[in-house]
Amino acid sequence: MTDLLYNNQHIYLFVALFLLFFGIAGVVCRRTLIGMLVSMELIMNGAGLNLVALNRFVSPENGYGMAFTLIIMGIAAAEAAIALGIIMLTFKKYGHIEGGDLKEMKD
Amino acid sequence: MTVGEIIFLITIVATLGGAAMAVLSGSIVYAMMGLVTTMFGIAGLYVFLNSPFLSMMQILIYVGAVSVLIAFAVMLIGPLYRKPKEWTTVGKFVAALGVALVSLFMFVRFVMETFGDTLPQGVPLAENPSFEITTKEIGRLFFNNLVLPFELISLLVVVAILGAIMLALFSRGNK
Amino acid sequence: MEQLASIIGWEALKMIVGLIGVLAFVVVNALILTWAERKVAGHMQRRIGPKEVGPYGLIQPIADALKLLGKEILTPRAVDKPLYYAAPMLIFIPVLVSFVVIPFDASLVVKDINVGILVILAFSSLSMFSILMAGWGSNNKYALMGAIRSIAQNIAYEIPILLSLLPVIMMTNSFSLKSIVEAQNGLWFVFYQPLAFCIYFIAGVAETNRTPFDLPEAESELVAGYHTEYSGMRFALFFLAEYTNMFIVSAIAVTFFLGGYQGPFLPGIIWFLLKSYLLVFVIMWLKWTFPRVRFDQLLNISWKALIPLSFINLLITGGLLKL
Repeated sequence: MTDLLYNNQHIYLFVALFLLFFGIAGVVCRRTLIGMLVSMELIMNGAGLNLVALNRFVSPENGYGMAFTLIIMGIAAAEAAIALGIIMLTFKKYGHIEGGDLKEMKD
Repeated sequence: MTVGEIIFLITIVATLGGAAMAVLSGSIVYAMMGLVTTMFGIAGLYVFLNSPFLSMMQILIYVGAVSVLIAFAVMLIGPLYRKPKEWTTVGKFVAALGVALVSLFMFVRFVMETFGDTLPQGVPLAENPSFEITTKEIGRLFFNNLVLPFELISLLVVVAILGAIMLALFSRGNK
Repeated sequence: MEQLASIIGWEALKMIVGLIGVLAFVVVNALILTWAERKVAGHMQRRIGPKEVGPYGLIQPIADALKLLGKEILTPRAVDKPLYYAAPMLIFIPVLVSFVVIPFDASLVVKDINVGILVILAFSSLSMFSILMAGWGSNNKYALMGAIRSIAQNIAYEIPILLSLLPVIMMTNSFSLKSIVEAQNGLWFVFYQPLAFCIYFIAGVAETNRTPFDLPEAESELVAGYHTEYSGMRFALFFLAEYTNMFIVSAIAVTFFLGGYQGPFLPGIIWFLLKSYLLVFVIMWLKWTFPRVRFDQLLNISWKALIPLSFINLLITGGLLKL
């Protein structure tokens, strides 16, 4: 039974790794602030997937990975709310949300 | 190739395809749709990892609340931003990704060869683990061992609510 | 039959038959509800509804369907094509997934998932996304305004639904819909939780965007809200999804509060359909009795009245369960 594709732990860890890399690349390469926020959500999802996969394959007798993934979901939700509030205020004040053009504090 | 494996492969393609669309697409709305696809894919993967409760919570919280919030912001800011330009071209991005992955593989291989015997091994599981983690177990865990993270996350949510209210008052008070 | 069962297994075959039954039920239900809506509307307004086409106007929905099928499917030029085409298709996913877990009878459930109610609640938030895609993809200011209002309303009323179903889940200790119906063998939960039933019903009617909460598709204010740019068969799909959503809200209210398929003499499925259609009739009754609420009153009802009441209900239930 362990040669079924979905009972193999490495594929889940690789998917979480890809999500993490896509997320980091998105935060670095995206121009608008909302695009960066979307990529940050990808990073958090990848972390959660990693925790649950390790819970199921390395220590399946308790549910710590699942409980922590719920806490990560809560953190991601709170962070998205505040980040969007700040983005809306930035848009109201400056008229655009391009990350590269917000340079008031630059010398 | 059983039916389960085919569905598993479709789920993985949805997850990674959604992530690619979220990062590489030109307009914010398509990025958001890619994010929603990724979240559904991850919910599917949670079902394969024996946690249906977490899968439904993922859809409820991420797709139902966080993505709708981002979509609201996109729509209120949106009509000016149909096609922003990216900083790098797609070719440079793919090359950077490839280099990062190759170097990661080499690093992991180095670590496994040097320290391979002392790392914790993955347990090859039978089809059904003998102890099924149900919602009741996760709930008990929250109230027995993980009380502190539980209280801290409620504090975090209260702080986030207060912050959001303050931001809304700022935006109204500036008129 | 046996060769098919040997390829995919009896369990999968039972599920496929169940899914085909569910699809047929969705179509028949939509036909019945369009007829019932027009008859009920007519009688509430002291006139008879349709009576020409067939006895008592029973073939009227088929005539309506033929008319809608015959209309020209017009695609405006400047729409955002992937979003515009995908929205009417996506609005059916939550409806069909919800039908998978609802128990029509003691053995007539397609698949009794043990986190059943969470499946329904999770996928009902997907319908918000299809409204968003319809509103944004139509490239039309009125559609966008209608979509934003509809989503604000949906988010606001999703919370009382969750909070009012939670006391019943606490009393039964299970998420699966069949065990919730089985736990009502003694006394139905509507007698234990009347406040939760009222809150759930009001919030459920608001979720389906029916009057008195139908500002997003108000005909006199916003042209037609988020489905302004849809014509013909695509509009029919939105309509169909709204009617089926109405049935699902009633079905969940029946399952959670009114005993599901339990009843004295008749087989279970007849009791279930009777109770569900009674609640659907009440929803239609509300539509033709109350005027539309204003948008800020709409959000005030949810955030200032329903949510504190459901929190108090939850606390009292939790306290009484422990004593």
